[in-house]
Amino acid sequence: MPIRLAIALAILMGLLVAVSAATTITVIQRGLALNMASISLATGDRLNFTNDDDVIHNIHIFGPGSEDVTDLGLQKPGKLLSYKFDKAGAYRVRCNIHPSVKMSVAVK
Amino acid sequence: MLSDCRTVAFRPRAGAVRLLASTDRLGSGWFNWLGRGLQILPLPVLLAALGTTDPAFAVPSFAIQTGQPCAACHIGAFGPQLTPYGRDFKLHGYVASDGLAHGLPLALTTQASFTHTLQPQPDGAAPGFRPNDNFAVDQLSLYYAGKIAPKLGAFIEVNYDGVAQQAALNNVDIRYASEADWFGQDVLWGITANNNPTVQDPWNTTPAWGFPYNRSALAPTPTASTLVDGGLGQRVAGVGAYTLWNDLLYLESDIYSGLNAPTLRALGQIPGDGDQAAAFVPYGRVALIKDWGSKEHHAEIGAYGLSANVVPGGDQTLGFTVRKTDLALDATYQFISDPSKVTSDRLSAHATYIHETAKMASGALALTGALPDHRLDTMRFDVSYSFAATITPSVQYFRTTGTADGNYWTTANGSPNSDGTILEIAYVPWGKPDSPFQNMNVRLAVQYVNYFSFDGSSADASRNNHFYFSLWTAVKF
Repeated sequence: MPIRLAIALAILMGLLVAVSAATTITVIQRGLALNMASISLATGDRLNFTNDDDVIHNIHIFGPGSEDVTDLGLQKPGKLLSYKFDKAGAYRVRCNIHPSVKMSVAVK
Repeated sequence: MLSDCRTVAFRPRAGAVRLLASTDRLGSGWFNWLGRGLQILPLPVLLAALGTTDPAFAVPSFAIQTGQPCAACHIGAFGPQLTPYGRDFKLHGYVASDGLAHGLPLALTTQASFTHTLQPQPDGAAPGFRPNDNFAVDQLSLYYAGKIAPKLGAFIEVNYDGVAQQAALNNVDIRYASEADWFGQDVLWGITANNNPTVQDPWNTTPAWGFPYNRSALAPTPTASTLVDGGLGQRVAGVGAYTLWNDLLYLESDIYSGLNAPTLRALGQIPGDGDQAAAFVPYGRVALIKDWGSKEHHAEIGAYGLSANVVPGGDQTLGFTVRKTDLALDATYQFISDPSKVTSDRLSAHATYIHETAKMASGALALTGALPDHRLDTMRFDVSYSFAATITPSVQYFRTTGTADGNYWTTANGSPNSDGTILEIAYVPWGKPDSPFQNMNVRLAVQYVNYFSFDGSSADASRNNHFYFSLWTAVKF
């Protein structure tokens, strides 16, 4: 019984570790700029993008392939957008409306 | 958008100044027909535009394309004074977009005004106008302003001048822009085709987009101005390349060619109304920029210049040219109280100093009796503070000084010197994210121009002081 319990606890702990390994980081979009210029992520990590401005934004994710583009859609003030980086590679994030809203993302 | 009607710098006294025949004034190009059309367009167009519900903007088609209110690009929520984002949008080729389909990027602006000068102008303020207290429809302007293709955009303005009663192709700036990564640093580069040196510039220190952003066409203006100060506007065509390295260093180089008289007439210009560039005109620009804080502060310091052989007054009868070389310094400072709000208070300061040397062709000296070399120095400094992108008071000091020569300048005592101040307060109720009228914007302004000296004379300079009340509207199609 103690052995079975120990195994069950070990599996549960492993699952918890596996779940917490995928992290979510919030990127603040304010003053027509992002609060970071670059970041390194692990595959499966997620970025959340705030819109703390009083105008709409339009985040695009470029990468990892040269032709890969994801349009996160128009983002009204206060709306939160999220993107999960499922593939390793180099990405660029930028607002299609505001050229100054940009950052690079390295996913390993 | 901007009235580009600064006075011609030099008209020789010896027979070169000529009165324009009425047919010349009215023009014979197709723009004249367009002008007659524009005269009857505005009311129905305005009424139709009021019924739509898209967001409100300064050059409305730009704003429609980006989904941004006027205040995102313009200090005071109305053009042409640019915010940092407005400069970005221009440098990136007018192509930034919200990704939605908006049709052709067409827009219309109108300017109407009332001018009161301290003393009446005995011969009338302009043909068809009274000596004083004149109402006028200054300009009706039609724009193609926005994206043409990926990385390619345009700002093209056709306007009808209600004072001169003339339609013309006004400012044009067509540009291609792209980004690159050179040695780990961001580089923006582009190509511009335009018809007015400095119209392509993103800072409001250079002449094409400098303060005041509109002015009376019915009040006296000083005789002397430098060539780069609007002297070649719409009278040349050119191409140039520019680059912005690491958001720090801006470099630009252009080459212009003067348009010949038939082309000028076809485009609605009057050949004899300004200097005619006789050869290629090189233009250069350099600027260092810096943003700091959380983008609350922006500073720019730079230089620009051009050199041209020009035929004074566009008149070929005397057959000589003048070599004009303009070198200028400029600086900008902007403070944005809260960069996350386009309606936050904003302080702007602009300064420019232009030094011009003019060298007469040797054959002209005996003909005119003028000195061989002349200098002309112009400086301007303005400060504005925009409260909530709604009320924007501004003040400017301007001064022009130069070599006195009664055989060169057409002023009474041969001096080109003038100086004075401009006080203005503008009110823009809309153009913000929560504006109730989402399809148009309006700018009401009162401007007072006060001369300390005018064309070399201080004694009666104040007779040229004037009030200029203007109503500027912008609507989208």
